Amino acid sequence: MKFLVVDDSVTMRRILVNSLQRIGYTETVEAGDGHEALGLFDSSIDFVITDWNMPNMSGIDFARALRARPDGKRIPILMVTTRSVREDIMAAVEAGVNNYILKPFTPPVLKEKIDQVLTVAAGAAA
Amino acid sequence: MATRPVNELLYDSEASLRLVDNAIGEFSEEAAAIVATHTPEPSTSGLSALPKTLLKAYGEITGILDRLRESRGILEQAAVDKLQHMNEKLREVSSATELAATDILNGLDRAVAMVDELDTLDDAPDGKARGLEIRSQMRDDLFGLMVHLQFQDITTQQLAYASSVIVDMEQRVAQIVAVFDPRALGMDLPRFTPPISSAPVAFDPNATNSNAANRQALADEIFKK
Repeated sequence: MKFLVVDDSVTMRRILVNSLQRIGYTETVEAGDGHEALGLFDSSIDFVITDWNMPNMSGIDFARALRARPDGKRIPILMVTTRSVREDIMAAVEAGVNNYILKPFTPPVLKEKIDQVLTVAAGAAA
Repeated sequence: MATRPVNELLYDSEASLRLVDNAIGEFSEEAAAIVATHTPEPSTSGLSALPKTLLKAYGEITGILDRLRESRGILEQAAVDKLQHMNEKLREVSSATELAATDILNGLDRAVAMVDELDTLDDAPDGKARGLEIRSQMRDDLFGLMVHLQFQDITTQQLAYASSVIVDMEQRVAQIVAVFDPRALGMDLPRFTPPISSAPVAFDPNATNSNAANRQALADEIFKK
């Protein structure tokens, strides 16, 4: 399974990629903002993990743009962000984000959310 | 050193301005009465010109008071809340940095102790099994240290927020200086120059390291619906 990890913080990208490796997902692609991520997104990507606050294109705009693409309608999107205001979380739901993790996260929570998203996605595909 | 709350200072300055305003108002009435009851001397110099001079001064001081009120409004407009929020964020940066440094040092201490124990296992009868156990524990601990470094992303956003508040304050102070029109005194009007940033910055003004479990619970509740 190939993950697209989008975060403007190099530190966060390293932590996310290392956490993914630790829970068994070794194939990853990285982008520093939504705009770069849209350029990297293709049919080989199976799962997207994105931050919200990023320059050039935010994670929420990236999620909306992805959902507007025929090849991005069903891709699982997990948002990992600091934004914890109710209205922001609601906006993420409306943008088509599948699940939401607040920073700072722990690897067990990351695994739990990925599993949840994949289970729902598998149920929807069946 | 103890500092007085901003709101208290603003309240006191408003009260002082009101007292000065009243005093000048009373003085103005007295001055106007003097002008009305005394026929002015032909000469415009000396004591006979005093009431007029005082009235002119009154007009100037009233104008200054109006400008002071205007500048108070500029400063008060959202500035107090923003500064207090910024102060909270800067304190959080300080405590998050200290907490992360302590956790990382503790983790490194444990790792060093484990390496020391590994050195003693060569001749131990159950050395191999214990060695595997220690290596696994050390791997978990070192990975835990990496996860602690998330504080850096959060404090970066908090500092970006503080920086944006400082820029905003600088703009407000430039506005206040403009209100007093330093050009009338032969001084140049200082120009506000926005800071040159090497890269665009995006940040969450409410980014925090605290209450992680409660914040996650809210997100989980919304996503369950």
